[in-house]
Amino acid sequence: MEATEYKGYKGKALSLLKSFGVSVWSEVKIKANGNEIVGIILPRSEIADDSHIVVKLRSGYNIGISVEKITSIEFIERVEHHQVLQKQEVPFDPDKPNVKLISTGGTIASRMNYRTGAVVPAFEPEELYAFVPKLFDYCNLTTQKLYSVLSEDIGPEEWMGIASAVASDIEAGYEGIVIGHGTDTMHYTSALLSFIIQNPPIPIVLVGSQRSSDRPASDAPLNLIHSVKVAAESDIAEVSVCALGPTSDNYGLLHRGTRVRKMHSSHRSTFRTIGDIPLAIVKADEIRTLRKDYNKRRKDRQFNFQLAFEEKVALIYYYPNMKPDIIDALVDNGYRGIVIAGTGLGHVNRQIYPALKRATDSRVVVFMTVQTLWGYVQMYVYETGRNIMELGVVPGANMLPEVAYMKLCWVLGRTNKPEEIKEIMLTPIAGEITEREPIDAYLIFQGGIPEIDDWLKQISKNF
Amino acid sequence: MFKDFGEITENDYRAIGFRAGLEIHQQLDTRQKLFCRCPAPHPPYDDFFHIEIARTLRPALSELGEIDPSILMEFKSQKKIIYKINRDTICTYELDQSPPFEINQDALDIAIYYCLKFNAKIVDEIYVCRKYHLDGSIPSGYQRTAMIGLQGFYEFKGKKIHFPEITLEEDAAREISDKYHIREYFTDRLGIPLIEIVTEPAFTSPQEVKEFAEAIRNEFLATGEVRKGSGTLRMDLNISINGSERCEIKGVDKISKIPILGYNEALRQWNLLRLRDALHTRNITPENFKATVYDLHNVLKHTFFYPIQQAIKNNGEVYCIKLPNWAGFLKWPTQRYTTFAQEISERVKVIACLTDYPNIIVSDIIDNTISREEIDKTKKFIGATSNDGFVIVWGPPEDVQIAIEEIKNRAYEATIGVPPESRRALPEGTTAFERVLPGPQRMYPDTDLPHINISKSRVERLRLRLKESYSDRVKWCEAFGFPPSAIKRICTSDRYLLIKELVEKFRIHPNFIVRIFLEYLPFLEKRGLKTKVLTNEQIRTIFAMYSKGEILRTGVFTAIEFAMRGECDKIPSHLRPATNDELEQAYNQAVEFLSQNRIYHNEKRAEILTGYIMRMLRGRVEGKTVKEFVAQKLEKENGSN
Repeated sequence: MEATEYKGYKGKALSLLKSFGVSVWSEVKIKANGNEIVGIILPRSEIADDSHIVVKLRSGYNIGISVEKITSIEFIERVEHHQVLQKQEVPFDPDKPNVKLISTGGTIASRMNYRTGAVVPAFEPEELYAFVPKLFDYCNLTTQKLYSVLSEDIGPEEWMGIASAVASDIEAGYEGIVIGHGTDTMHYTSALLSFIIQNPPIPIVLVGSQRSSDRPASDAPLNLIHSVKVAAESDIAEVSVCALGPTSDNYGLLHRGTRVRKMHSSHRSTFRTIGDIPLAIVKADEIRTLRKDYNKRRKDRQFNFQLAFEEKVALIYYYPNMKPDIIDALVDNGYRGIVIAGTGLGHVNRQIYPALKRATDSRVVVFMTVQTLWGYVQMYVYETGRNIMELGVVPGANMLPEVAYMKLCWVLGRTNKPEEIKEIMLTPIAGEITEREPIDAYLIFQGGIPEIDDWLKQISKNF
Repeated sequence: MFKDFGEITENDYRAIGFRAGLEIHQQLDTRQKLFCRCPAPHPPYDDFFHIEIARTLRPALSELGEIDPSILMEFKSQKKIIYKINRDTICTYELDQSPPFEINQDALDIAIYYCLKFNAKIVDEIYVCRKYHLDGSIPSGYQRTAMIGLQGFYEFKGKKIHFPEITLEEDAAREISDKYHIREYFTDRLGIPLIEIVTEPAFTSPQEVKEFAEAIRNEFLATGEVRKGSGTLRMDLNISINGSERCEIKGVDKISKIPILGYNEALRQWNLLRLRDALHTRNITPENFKATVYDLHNVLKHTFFYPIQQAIKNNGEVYCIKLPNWAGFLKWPTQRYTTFAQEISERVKVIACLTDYPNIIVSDIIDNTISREEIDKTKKFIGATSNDGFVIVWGPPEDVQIAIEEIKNRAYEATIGVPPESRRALPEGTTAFERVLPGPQRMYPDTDLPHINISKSRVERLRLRLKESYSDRVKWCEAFGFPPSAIKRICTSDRYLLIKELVEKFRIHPNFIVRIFLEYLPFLEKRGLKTKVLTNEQIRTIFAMYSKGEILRTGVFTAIEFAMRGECDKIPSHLRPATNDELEQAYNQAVEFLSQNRIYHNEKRAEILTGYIMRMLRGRVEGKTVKEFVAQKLEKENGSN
């Protein structure tokens, strides 16, 4: 009880509160240095010092008052902070498709508690309906809170759990599945799911938001609308990621789950398809496919479910002057697979050759990908590459480093026969390796070029 | 009866219970913006932009299930917002694509400084909060703001005007247009640090507000830590009278307009209260308010009234709202030269986005719109008698439905009194509806930034920076005999402290100060030289030389010009006072020059000789001295002839 009554307060501040018999969530009148301040005592951050009390004033502003200055605290009344979220009865339409929305964490739908300032998930269908009623124009939405992890903490337990939940939802007859996920590692999860759930009959869309949904300019509502529309109506039966396209709010993009990557730490249009073009442009009232080569929606419930995972796989980012001990340490610690993001066409320095040989000799499989993200691994062109291949390192075509890592985890969970491993790794299952790189697969425009600036100026608000 | 603007007095305002408070937003003079490292541009802003981006803002509904009324309004109007962006002053932070950077410490210093100046208590731990604005003026949908000082005050005309809260916040974008469902903004101003001071409703007349605003502005100007120029100081006026709700007038950027704005708002509120009473007399009350809606499409589908004709052509609709027993009330006067119909029309414009005027027709003011015949047909169709009022509205179907709701709302509100509104100040001194007054501020803590501790030593350092108040400066000027017309400019000058030093330490005469700082420097500016180049150190040195007699009074002018041209090496070498011999020599040269040129008017000789010598000995001899010298010389010559 005490823990929450004085949440975050310690030392001098805690003694002060106790001495006046007031706790967190009390509205009080504080006398400090000749001033009278009326406000609500708020919880304090655990990492802050013990010499201040945090108060929310009637105007809504928060301030911190130094404990030393306080001469008295008079209790006025206790403030109830009920987290009653508005719920509205959800409409059901038997003619509309049934879509499942699974949450694994992240704040794709949440509310800000006015009193505490804490962000509270708002995830029941009733809450979603109050938040974005438009979702129910497309389908009947059922929700499930599967996990509540920060996406950087996600691991095999969650991955296997998500895959199993998706599998059973497909079997249960849902016509589309949306998975709410933190954006930091969404592309890892989308890649892995593409390998575990092959040939799905329905769309499986991962969605997140870069700006928490309690903010007015949050991308959450739009992302939700776009992803639910895809899940309910589109015929793109693949594992995909849906996020905003441009800086304006004009449309979202649907990216194939094995070719998508988060490319900016905070920008809303952070996800991009690398080495190819996206699947579709999505708006609230339109899905415009950009290509024809995707798995189409089917009425049957067949799909290839291959649940497997090996934890002892490492993804390492090569850097000049990398020493062999890094690789040796992996081998000595029982790692079964290593994916290297090499420089250029897939290169590493000579120093680590012996360590790589030692690894492959110890039946550790080593695959090469490129740090540059775009382009193929091509290890014949330079002697370096040929030497590295001779050590047993396998070129990973144009798999993204993160995707190769997830695929290797999955493959090593299924078999330990080297030839089989190599064959499965290098056989594309869901677009993680493409046969060709079209000319519009690498389009990174440089800012500041006059022609680019002119063109941007013309199209930007409609782009 | 409400007097004319020219005749109303402070007592009249007091009699109707006029109360006003002021909210002052002053931009601070920092190099960079408040939460990012973009340069903070100075006005005047140009209209250049590199790209435009389009956004829509969604209201984040309250977790208590309540919908803040101003948010509901914005949601109804469904605006698409276009931001015009200049890459040199906007980064990903302003576009809500990156989290905030650490708060600008210079801005924080200036904010603390002003809190000290206005006797406010500095907050020990500062928390940045978010204040939600959904009109589009901030791309992220909220303004980051922090409370810096509490319970300050300012002495004005013998009373203490209280400033309960002084905050530091980021400025919003500048609206350029708002038509139909598109609102456009320039973003140059976005993110510039602002200090906001809110007063209690302590003023009892618009004139008093104006004088107070001037006093505060002079205090700001006197300290030099604020930006100067148009739009850098903006004020909101909160006004109520006995029996009315508080209304806010936003965007007052000329202090001189405060009296007329205050007058019109008081008049509007007073008129609305009388309208309510008149409605009640006719038994139209909130409880039995009625309004019925009719589809006029068939009645007016062939009208020649252009707006309706166009609407119908574009598949729009036209509706009529009948207000039983309302005859005469729709033309009830509100502000000067406007009527109640205007109140309805503004709601329709802002909320239903029917932005082309005229957007309604009211029964009381129906001449020159639809034809006589159509009026009669309409009345018959809706069953209206001569006691009834009606409002006709037209436009795209969705917008018209919203308009109908707003027309009914506004008419209903008239039966209650003065609805609480946020109104926009217009150039001619009237106001127009801008939005419904927001409910209790939606303020949330900003979890993207840590709190800031303000150390005692920082406060003390800033306290030492406190300069005299503006009123103290005025007293000083008066004591030293500055001409009254020059006092304000001297007191608000950037160089005030320097001037003080010159007068007190070097004993420079105030008239000379005025001549140099208020006349000569602007004169040189007009000729293309930049006063900014002239440092205080340079000015001080020049005057020091003058006070020691190293240069003459006329030399001061020339020295200043040299300094502004970057020719400081000529000071004082080129300005040594001329000796008598040099004067003689110059005279002879002048005579030589004259003899080589034919002069037709003999009386001009003196003038020409004087001019020649002045040019030769520029800055080294007083004009009076030369004139006398030449006159003497010529007299001698004439005498000897």
